[in-house]
Amino acid sequence: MPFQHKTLILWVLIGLTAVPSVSAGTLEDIRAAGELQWGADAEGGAPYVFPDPDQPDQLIGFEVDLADAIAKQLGVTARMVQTDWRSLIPALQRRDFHIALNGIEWTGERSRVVDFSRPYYIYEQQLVVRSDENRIRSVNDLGGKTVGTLAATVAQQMLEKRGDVTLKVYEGQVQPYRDLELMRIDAVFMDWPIAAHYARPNPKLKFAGAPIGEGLYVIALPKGDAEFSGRINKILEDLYADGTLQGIYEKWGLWNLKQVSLRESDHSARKVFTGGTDNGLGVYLPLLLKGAGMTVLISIAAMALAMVFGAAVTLTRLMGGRLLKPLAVAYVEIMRGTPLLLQLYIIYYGLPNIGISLNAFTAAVLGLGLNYAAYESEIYRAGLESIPKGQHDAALSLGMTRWMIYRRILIPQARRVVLPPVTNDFISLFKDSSLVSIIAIVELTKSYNMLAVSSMKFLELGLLTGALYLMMSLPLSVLSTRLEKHLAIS
Amino acid sequence: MIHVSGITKKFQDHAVLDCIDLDLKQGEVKVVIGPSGSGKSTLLKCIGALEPFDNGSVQVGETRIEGPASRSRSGSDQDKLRQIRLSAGMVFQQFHLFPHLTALENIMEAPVQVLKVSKTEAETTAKKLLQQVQLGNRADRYPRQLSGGEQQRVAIARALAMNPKCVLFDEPTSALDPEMVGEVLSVMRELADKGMTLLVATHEMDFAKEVAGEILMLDQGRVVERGTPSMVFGNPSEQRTRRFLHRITHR
Ligand SMILES: Nc1ncnc2c1ncn2[C@@H]1O[C@H](COP(=O)(O)OP(=O)(O)OP(=O)(O)O)[C@@H](O)[C@H]1O
Ligand SMILES: [Mg+2]
Repeated sequence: MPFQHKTLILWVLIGLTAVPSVSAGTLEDIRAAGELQWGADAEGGAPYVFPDPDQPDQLIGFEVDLADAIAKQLGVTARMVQTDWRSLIPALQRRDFHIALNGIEWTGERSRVVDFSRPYYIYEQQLVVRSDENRIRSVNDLGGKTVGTLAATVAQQMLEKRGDVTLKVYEGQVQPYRDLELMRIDAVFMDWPIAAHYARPNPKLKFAGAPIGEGLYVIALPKGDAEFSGRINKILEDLYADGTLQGIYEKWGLWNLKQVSLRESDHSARKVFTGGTDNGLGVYLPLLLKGAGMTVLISIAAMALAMVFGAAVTLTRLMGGRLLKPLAVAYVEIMRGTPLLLQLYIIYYGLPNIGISLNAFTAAVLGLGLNYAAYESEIYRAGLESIPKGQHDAALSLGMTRWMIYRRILIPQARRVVLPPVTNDFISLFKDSSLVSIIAIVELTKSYNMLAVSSMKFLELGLLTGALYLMMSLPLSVLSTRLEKHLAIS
Repeated sequence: MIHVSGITKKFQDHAVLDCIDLDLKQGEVKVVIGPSGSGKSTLLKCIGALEPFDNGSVQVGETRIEGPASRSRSGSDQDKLRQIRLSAGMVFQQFHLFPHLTALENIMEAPVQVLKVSKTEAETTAKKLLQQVQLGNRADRYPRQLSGGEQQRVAIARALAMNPKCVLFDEPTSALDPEMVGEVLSVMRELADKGMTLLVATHEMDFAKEVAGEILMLDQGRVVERGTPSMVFGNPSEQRTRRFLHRITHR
């Protein structure tokens, strides 16, 4: 019972979300389903589970082979259930699949909410730098450097624990190496299998120092089903003994002498990194507040850009010549008609292909700002068009030029009309800013995600994070309502 | 001062103005009457260069523009249109004061922005004009704080501040409560007495009889009858005019 010591309210909430903490009969479930459903994230990438480059509808990887081998022992077939990597453990708790098998590292926090099998692979962490790097020779030289790693991994926790590096946390395995090549970061610290697959073949990158920080990849199993975990452990033991495991690892270039220890059945004496201790919420609050600060900073900068650029787009659309007008229309349609997420990816990861490499903060502000500029420009246009035509006629009859009419007569009146919708847009931008976490910016939602995954406190931290968002957005809502009322009166 | 010759304007196939001729000499006052939809507003807007027209020509002061040129975007044609707008002041049925500016600022805006008159000079003129329309004590009020009659008088002052050669009035009292009509008409009467050239679309018969040199009766875009007030009101020759006059006097 992981949450026993928490307050009554939390207990009730947990009761409502109905997470069974003890489960049994997984073997019967598998037999009834006729398949072993295993949770993994193909987006995570090679060499674990990834789409076959030659046949993208097929998944391959050493864990696909392993799942197949386990299923065969159980007398069923294996079916991968695609799940966001950071949700694997909670999804297993909800019984979305029978096992979670996807480079899951053994940590103390996780073992409180699910059971773990014996290890199927012994990994280490590998530091990677650019080929021309000569200052960073090992992790000892990382002080003050910017280091990329994968979100919610042991590598991230190890770096956090050092406290003297600037962390850049990524969702995918490819992007950190890419940013390393682009000199956006100084080094990448990630699981050895990832480094072996992505960095070793890349001539622009090299390994720095020997691998360190031994850890165990384990299969996550439903909590409390001793029969099932006994069976899985036996299968893993057999797969090692008959050479199947070694065969799989050799096929994927992952075999090394360390794996010999997999033979042992007791790994409790192994000096593995176990992550932090079970902290109270107070420990997380400063980290969440820091994330909130970044959210506010990005939102304000992006909104300022959106308002100024949106105004430029509107004026171009209303006053531009035959050439510029369609350009402004196309801009609005493209920005509104494609996902913001895609735009962020293109700005941050795509533009370097044509020589434009922006830092993450600039890319985030630019992406959000340019996207919202399209919406602001439509609000401004509607605002200007809501001004009665007589105003234009009266100004024109006084000899004013077109630009003068906009500047002195129409815009000052439209400004009042657009204030409430623009405030509303600011609130949505504020919430949409959570999307920039995909370009390795640690804002509030990202902070929550990182902390929740490492502590397993999805609910408590989620409520706390929600409260922080509300504390920031409610004043804006109140302001927007006030403005609307104020305008309705005058 | 104003020469309109054969102007025609169509919306799609429907002729809103059909070959209209009109002349006003310096200091003349003429009144246009006609049923709703007959083309009064359109005529005034065409003369004031707020609407393009298709054929014929409009001349205000020394500036003359032909139908096709009134739609042209060329610099010289735009200059001509602007010249006409500066020569002809406009007063609208719905006032169209700028709601974000005070009465005084409404009057000062165009002299400062368009004529580049200094702020102090524009303010002096504006205050004088407000006195002239009996609103010396309303300078700092916003349009929404003024009655309809007051708003229309500010609108007249705003037009006069540009020193126009003539003023075009489009039913200036139709949107007003009856008790406010008089104050606006008396300002207009004063203007006429001072020798200002006025073209007024209105249904105020008494005003027309008193100040107008000529009445034009418009129907379906044509001038169906024209003459002195006593001729048109006293003994209209057209059945349509008679019916129209009967309707508005028995409202
Ligand atoms: N933008 C437009 N598009 C199409 N038709 C129009 C447009 N503006 C005016 N009209 C038409 O032109 C005709 C003349 O309109 P106008 O406003 O000049 O009449 P009016 O004599 O001023 O009428 P009222 O006494 O109601 O003000 C009407 O039939 C009207 O429907
Ligand atoms: Mg009209």
